[in-house]
Amino acid sequence: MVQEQHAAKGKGAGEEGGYAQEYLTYTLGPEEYAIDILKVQEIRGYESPTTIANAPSFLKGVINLRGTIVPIVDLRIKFNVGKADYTPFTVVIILNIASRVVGIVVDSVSDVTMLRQDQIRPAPEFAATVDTKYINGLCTLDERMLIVVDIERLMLSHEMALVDAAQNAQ
Amino acid sequence: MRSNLPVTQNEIILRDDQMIVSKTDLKGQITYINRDFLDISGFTESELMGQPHNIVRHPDMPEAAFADLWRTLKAGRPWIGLVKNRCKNGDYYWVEAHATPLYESGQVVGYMSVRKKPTRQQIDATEGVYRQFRENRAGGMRIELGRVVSGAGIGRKFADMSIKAKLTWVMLLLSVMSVVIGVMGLMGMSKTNEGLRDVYELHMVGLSDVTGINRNVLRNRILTEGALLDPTPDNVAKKFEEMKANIATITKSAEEYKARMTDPEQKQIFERFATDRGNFVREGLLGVMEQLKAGKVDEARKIFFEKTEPLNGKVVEHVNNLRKYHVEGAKREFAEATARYESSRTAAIALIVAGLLLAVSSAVVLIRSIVGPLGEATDIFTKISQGQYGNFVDITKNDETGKFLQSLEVMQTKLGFDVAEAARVADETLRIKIALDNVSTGVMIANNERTVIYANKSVQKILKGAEAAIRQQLPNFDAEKMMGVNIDTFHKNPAHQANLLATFTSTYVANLEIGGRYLRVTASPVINARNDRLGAVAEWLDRTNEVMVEKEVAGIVEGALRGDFVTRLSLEGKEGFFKQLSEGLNQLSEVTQTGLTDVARVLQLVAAGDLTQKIDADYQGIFGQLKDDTNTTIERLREVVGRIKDATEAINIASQEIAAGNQDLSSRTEEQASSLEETSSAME
Repeated sequence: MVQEQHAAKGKGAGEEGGYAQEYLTYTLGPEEYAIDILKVQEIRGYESPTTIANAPSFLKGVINLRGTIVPIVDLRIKFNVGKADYTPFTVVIILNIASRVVGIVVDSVSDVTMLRQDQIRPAPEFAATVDTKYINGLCTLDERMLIVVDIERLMLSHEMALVDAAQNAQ
Repeated sequence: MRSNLPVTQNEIILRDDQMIVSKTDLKGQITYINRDFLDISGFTESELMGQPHNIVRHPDMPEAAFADLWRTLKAGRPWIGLVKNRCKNGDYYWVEAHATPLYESGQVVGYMSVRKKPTRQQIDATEGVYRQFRENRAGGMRIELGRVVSGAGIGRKFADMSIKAKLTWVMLLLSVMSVVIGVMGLMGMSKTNEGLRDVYELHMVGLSDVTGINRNVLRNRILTEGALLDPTPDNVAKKFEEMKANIATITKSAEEYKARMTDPEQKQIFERFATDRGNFVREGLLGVMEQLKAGKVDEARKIFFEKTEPLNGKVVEHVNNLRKYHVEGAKREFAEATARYESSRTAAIALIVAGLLLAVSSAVVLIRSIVGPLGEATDIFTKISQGQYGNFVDITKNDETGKFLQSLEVMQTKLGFDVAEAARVADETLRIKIALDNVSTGVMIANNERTVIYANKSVQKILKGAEAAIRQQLPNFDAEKMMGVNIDTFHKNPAHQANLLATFTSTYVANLEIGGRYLRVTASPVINARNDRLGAVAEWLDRTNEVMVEKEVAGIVEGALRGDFVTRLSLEGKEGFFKQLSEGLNQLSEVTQTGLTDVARVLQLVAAGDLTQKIDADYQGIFGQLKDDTNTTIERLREVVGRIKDATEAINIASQEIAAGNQDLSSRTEEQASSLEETSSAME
């Protein structure tokens, strides 16, 4: 059932690619990123979080998501791209990372797409918005270029200081 | 209990080489005793034979020791123990007794005891303990197999179990343990497999479904938003188509998921999901799309924010709950499996360790119970081969190797006795041989092949005497080298002799004359108690002298018959009877000749008219009578002759007178005649 879905949906996905995985793609500034869909719990509209004192600016605060305190990170601020304004259509991707729940604010969510491992090429040392150590590789799909991000590693990095923040919040 | 009294405090100490041996019948009555027994105990053979063995029992011996001895012997096992015995005069002596049943054709026919000198330490150790038994102060001690032991007999029972039984038990126990371990492992694996199946079928598949549902829910959210942000009819229609396909997929997945549900908790969560999802699809998704298709973008946005977003949140929550349910279920299964694994691992390790300990310890015990006794047996065999028969053997064990050692003890005891007995028999045989060597009769023994295996000094002497004569017929004959010679070579007709020697059953006498020697051979068969012919024995007698004497005597007697008493037998070379006989005969001839000569002489004188001689020599018997009668006859003759002389003289005188008368008469007659003539002439 899942396979059928993939076959139907995943462009260029075939048997010869071996192991295939579904990714959620989103845009952040000019670049389009892909993250492992299994890490994604839900997509919801942005609502103003409860701010935290002395928090970095990209950490917008925390929300109470059905009883779970979820820190919200605005990646646009963090990576200094796009306009960090909040409209009704500003979306938050709620991630389930290492038994923690984190929300990230991106420009927009594009699609769910299927990528085979062999479609993902190693990332060259280039000036991407995101540090290459958080990038699993690049993938070209039709005219689009996707940056496959290790979102878990990124979110747990010290740069984000999320772990402490979440703990402080709780 | 028999009490032999009185006793003294005088100990007789055995010599190292002394070995007291006795045998009894099944009732314990003595049937055999050896010399040392008599020497040490002071009893005589007739005092001991047929008596119960306790005749030498010392009152210091505890009853328990003999009870143990007889119990052990009757069980067919050997017994080794220290025994204090009493001599006839009340003295005592300590022995290390090796008692054993005696078998004949597999049946116990009696008992034998071989006793030797114990060490002083053995005596010192035993004496006090025996006293404790006698004074009923033994406490928990018992006498078992001749040894004083104490404590419970469980160890003994285990030690007495046969190696086969021990092995069987150990194998059985190990097998049971392996089976238990195996069953535990299998059960654990089966449980784990069940858990794994649960994890897979229930939680993995369930989680995959839920994940699929979640993904499509995400996608619908994206499609809805995509349609709202670009509400062109084409885009809306495209998104709507995709959305409908997604919804159908979710529905299909949900149905499949529903069909596989088993747990009430899961069902409860799913029911909530199904309800809220129905609302979400109907109101949140289709509602927005309907509005968009109708071109009512604002309406659609309103619905999106008011209905879709909250309903989406609810659906996501249920999906999350389902996901959580599966993740936690899997975790629970894993925890259970881990707990199960840990408990069964502990038990399995305990069992494996116990099994290993059992295997190692039983291997040690078994190896000891095999290797130890075998080493001991090897030592004892070595000692036996060196002629030592009183070795200490551990006879207390009763498993296979224990029985082996017991048999070794029985064999050693019996062998020791047999060797001593053989030595005694050999001594007796030697005594007989030496006696035989020295008897005056010549003895020669031949085996069944008629080879001379024994020739004593006398036979050599006899044959030596005849050697020169024998050599005339048998040039190679050597009287001093008779041993090993086949007697067939002595015979003109060996086959006849061979046949005779192989069949004769009673004494056979042959007289031979070889070169002037007269030999008598008395042959007897040698037949043992089992009626096997072992050979023949010949007694040789040199009869040459005898025969010569016989001939001489015959000559003498013949001479005597002819009245010749002058011939005498030569005494030279004669011995014993023949010399005596010859001397007697010579004396007889002498006496006869002297007597008869005397008588002849006197009679000759008588014949010559000399009656003055008498026989003066002393004679006895008939010769005396002859002498007396001769003398009396002469006396009488002299008397008669005297009287005749007197008468003759008278007659002579008368005769002369008659003659004178006759003369006168004659003259007168002549005168008459002349007158007559003159007359006649005158007449003519």
